[in-house]
Amino acid sequence: MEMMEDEERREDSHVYASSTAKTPNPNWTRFGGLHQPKTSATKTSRLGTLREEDSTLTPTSTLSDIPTITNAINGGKPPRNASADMPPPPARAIITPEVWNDDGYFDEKITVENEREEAFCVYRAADIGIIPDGDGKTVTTTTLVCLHGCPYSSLSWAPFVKEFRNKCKTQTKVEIYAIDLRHHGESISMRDGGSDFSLGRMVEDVAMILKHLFSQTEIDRKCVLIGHSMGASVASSLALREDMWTKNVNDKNEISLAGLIVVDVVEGSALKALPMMSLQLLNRPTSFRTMRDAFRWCLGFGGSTKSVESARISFPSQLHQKSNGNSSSFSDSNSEREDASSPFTFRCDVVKTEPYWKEWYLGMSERFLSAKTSKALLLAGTDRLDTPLTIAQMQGKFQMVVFPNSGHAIQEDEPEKFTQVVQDFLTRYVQN
Amino acid sequence: MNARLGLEEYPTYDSMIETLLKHQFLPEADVLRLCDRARALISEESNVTNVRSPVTVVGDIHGQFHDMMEMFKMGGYAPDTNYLFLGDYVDRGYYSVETVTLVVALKVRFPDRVTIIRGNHESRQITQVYGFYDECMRKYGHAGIWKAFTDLFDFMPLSACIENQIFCPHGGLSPSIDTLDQVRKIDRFAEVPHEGPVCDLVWSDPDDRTGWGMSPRGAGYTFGQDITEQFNHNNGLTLIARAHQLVMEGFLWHHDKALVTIFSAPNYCYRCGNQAAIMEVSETMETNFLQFDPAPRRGEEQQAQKRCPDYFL
Repeated sequence: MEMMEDEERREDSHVYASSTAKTPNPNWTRFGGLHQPKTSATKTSRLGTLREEDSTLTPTSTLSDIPTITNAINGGKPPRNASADMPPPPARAIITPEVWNDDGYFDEKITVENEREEAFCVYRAADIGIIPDGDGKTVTTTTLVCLHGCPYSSLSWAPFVKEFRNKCKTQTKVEIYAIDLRHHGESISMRDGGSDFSLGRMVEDVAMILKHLFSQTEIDRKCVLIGHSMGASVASSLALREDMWTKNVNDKNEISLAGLIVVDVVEGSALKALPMMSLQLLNRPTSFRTMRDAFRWCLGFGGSTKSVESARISFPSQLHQKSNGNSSSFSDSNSEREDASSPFTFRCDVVKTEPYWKEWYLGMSERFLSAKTSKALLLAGTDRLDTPLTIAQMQGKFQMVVFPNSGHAIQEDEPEKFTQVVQDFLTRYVQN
Repeated sequence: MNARLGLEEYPTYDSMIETLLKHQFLPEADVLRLCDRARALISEESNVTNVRSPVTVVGDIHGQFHDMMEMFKMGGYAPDTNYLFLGDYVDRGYYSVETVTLVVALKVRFPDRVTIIRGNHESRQITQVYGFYDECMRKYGHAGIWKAFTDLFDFMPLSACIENQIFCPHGGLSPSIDTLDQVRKIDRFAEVPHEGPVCDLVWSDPDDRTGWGMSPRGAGYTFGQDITEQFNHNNGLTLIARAHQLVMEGFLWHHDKALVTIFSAPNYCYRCGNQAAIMEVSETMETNFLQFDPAPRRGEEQQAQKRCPDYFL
């Protein structure tokens, strides 16, 4: 914690801190402390029962229900310690957050627990596409499994889901699942001390979750794994798990792997960027005084996304708000001051992920290339290819699509073009 | 405008080529004039341009200008050596402007000794992503040069045929094409489309599996030995010579020597460690491959590694 002294002197609205031993707060208040009625779409899974607390966690709301950022803080009172060093944003900059089941996003929020009583949050968007005649027979469903990057959450895919619904012309039934990976979003995993980000563990988590979800219905599925950054590494490993993609995996229905889409990560350039990323950690805020500050950082240089619309649904899900007086979540001496002034902290402690970065990406190109399925690599720049992928791409082994104007989270920055590419991929390789 | 240069124009164009061979830039007006002359010239050529032997066939170059110079040193300079370029002059390498200008200048000056066809990178869409557009902006300060070249690309022939025996597209075959006559009937003067025969000719790849398959590239098809053999038989061909795929030795036989891939960008992208090759076709239609290594580097590798993405933070 020797960094803290230095950081204390900073007067930014962002509080800079190194790792703080946070314990996930069981009272999952959405930021702004919105307590809204439980949605009927929340479901109890067979493996796990829904947590009691969840009843307050899944607000059904329309845009008009959501207060502006200013209102979201301190129950509408003017924020304390309003940052005097920041110019007031223009009136149009008021950005209101959205929630998972707002119009066009997800239909259902599912909690799946494993044997260790770790609970994972999964969002489902169903009944997309025109379903062929309902004669009661089993219909093969195109199932997209979306795995977010670090420190994003499932809601990073929400803009894509919305766009997918709007533009879907397929005659095939499509379902989209987005899974909050360990220690991200609303997935709770206390058993590992809050710091196990190992690739093997995350792959096991997703395999368990998918097996459970797929055993709930008797439909045949063609699965396409879509992974962003860290999630792409998980997806590439999962694609090689033969126990996942064999015929009749659960004696009921056929689950096959039909595609692997990797979003903006390449082993060579990721490994090369690691030292720089460690440096960037030092400049990364760990908390925000207000949602307005949070959105401003999110949409600024080096933030999460360039798209205001995507930030509204995705970025709040990366944060949680400390409840008042709960200083136990900060281990530092100055925690009270921080707690009072910076109630919004990241759910995923990026500092704790650093020991796993190398493991995530080492051998990823090889895993991607050896997956026996149709593959696409979506990149935010051509200079991100490493040598094995440059060779393979120039030998025509996979589809590469470049989004030159996008930042790292392509699905958030350019959801329209991203969706177009995914739908073209499905048309070409999955649904023909 | 005359398609062909008049005798009195030769010195002007000779000096352009001399300038380009020294790796110096042409003034913008010269480049625009060159593109005009080239368009007039190649727009008259067939979709299947006839090429006489002997000729040396060149695969992808991708803006690796200095490596192209190595190639000329080894294979001979035009017009002493006849050349058939199979496309992909631009993108990826750092000298697309110099490379494509020289190739086009050689075509204009020696129209009977140099043949150029279109690759999948000779396209507005692709060049905006893979470097040629940015390079034009960087080197000439505006998009005019890029526009002149990409307009010219629309007129490039889709394929060539050496002595009616060796069919040479950039990519490969198409399920909508059985005969060379069908290729000849295509209206090619447009941007490379996302599907259809023109797309397939510049995007498709041979495959070990028989029959047609969807290309993993997202455009074009894969085709097996049965398809190649049938096509060669239908059209009285002995060989299909194409480029488009990186092959580590610079050339690679497929389909029981019914098809060959030629790749002429050594150490592709300044990092792939591959050899390059060109294929000499003699007067008696015998083939011989000349392999070559990259020219001494000028720091491109470092340049290639300098830009580093800021992953996930």
